[in-house]
Amino acid sequence: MIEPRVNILMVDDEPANLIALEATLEELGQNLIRAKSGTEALRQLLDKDFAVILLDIQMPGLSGIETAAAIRERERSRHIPIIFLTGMDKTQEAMFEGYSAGAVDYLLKPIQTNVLIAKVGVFIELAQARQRLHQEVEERTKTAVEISMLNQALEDKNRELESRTAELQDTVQELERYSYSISHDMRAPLRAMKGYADVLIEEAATTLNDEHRGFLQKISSASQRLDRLIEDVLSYSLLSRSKFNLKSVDADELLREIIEQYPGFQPPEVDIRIEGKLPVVWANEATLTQCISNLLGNAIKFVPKGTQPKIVIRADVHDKETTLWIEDNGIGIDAHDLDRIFGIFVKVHSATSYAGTGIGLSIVRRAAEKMGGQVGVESTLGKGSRFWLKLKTP
Amino acid sequence: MKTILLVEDTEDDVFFLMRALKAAEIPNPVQVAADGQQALDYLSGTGVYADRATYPLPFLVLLDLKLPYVMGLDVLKWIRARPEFDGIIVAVLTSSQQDHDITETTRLGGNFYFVKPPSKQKLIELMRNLAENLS
Repeated sequence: MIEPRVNILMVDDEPANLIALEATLEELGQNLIRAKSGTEALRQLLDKDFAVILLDIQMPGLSGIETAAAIRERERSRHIPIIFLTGMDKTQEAMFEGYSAGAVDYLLKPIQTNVLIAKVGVFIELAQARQRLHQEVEERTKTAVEISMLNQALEDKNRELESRTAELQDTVQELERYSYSISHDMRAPLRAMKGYADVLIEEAATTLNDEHRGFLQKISSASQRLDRLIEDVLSYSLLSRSKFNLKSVDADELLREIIEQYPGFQPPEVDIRIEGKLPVVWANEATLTQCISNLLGNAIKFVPKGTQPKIVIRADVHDKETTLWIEDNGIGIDAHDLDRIFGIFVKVHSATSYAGTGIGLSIVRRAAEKMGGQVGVESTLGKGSRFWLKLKTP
Repeated sequence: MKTILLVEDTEDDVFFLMRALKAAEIPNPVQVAADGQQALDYLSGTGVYADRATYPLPFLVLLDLKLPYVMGLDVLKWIRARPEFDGIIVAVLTSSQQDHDITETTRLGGNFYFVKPPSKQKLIELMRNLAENLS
């Protein structure tokens, strides 16, 4: 590191002495400033800092001792070390006077150059060290100020982000409430459409021709399809908005109940088997019921025409996690569809082959996530699928 | 013959329910209140409903939940807060199986709920259930 140059003040009424001093000190590579009298020295000290002052004692006008006393009186120059240069033998008295005026050292004339260089060198280093320290303190202060400014900026940004997040959350919530209420209100006119179509099918059947009866049938089944779609959208949106209480749920009991109660889950239409006894899981009963019935419903729906759905349910229990497996003998899922099928409104079959709303598995996924779990699938096209539902073990 | 009070604001739904009651061969007279306030007025015999001979107290209230002025669940709460209506059976009509209305219905003292429109079968079942309970 390159040290900054410091100032050295040389005060002597004899120009020859000043030249001699300058010649000696030149090799130190600092700024050498001359003053021919005490007054001139004091003037130099008004606007400059010095590492050391070399001060002749015997001068006309202000003597060296008087000059030193004036230097010590000023706040700005009080700390600057003074080396007295004197031609006379230093008596006890003069030394006492000099020291009390603030000298740090004496050099007797004729001056030995190596001693002068050594002594001045010490003060140069001292001044440089002080300057370095000063600089460092300044830099650190600057850095601290910068850090505190950055912190402030960060805090502001954070607050801004927080309020924007809150706003977004409000908007999302409002949108969800809105879509929920719209979906809800759509069902009333839909119910009317289906209801009146059904009344006509029942009562006006004899006065209509086959084609017209077919149209009525289409109105009825289309409104029913739309109703199912709305019901699914409602469930999905309700799942997003709700907070659930999670507790220990006996999966064995729950699954047997679902299979017993849901229409179309019993033999001879289907063959559902539970392997072993299913464990207790950490879940919300209604939400888990929705998951399981959707998964079983899919397993039953997606079989080749004329095949009896065969479903096996079993569980892997670990310390912290339970995996429920639902294995079917259905049509299976193409490898490139595996990632897509849990997305909302995704259907990988034509409406004529396997009708559905495309929301069922999104409901399962969201429900699983809401319970702190996960859902996934392994499948071989044409052989069947194995859906898994991971839940926490209580 | 005991009266049924149907609280329903949608004309179409009134029509379908009347039809289903007829199809289920339920002969009880049905009175209709078209909103929540009318239901309260009817039950308390206020204003036009003062004449109990024309507007007798119902043994069964079929209660839609989405109503103008006073919501269905508030009607239910109002009924259950009055000991003089203790014997009245309240069956709630909801539009969705998953409505949290169902849990609220149970909590507030509703006796049954139906997803709209209730089928002929469901109504027959309900009447049989009530007959057993009443006898």
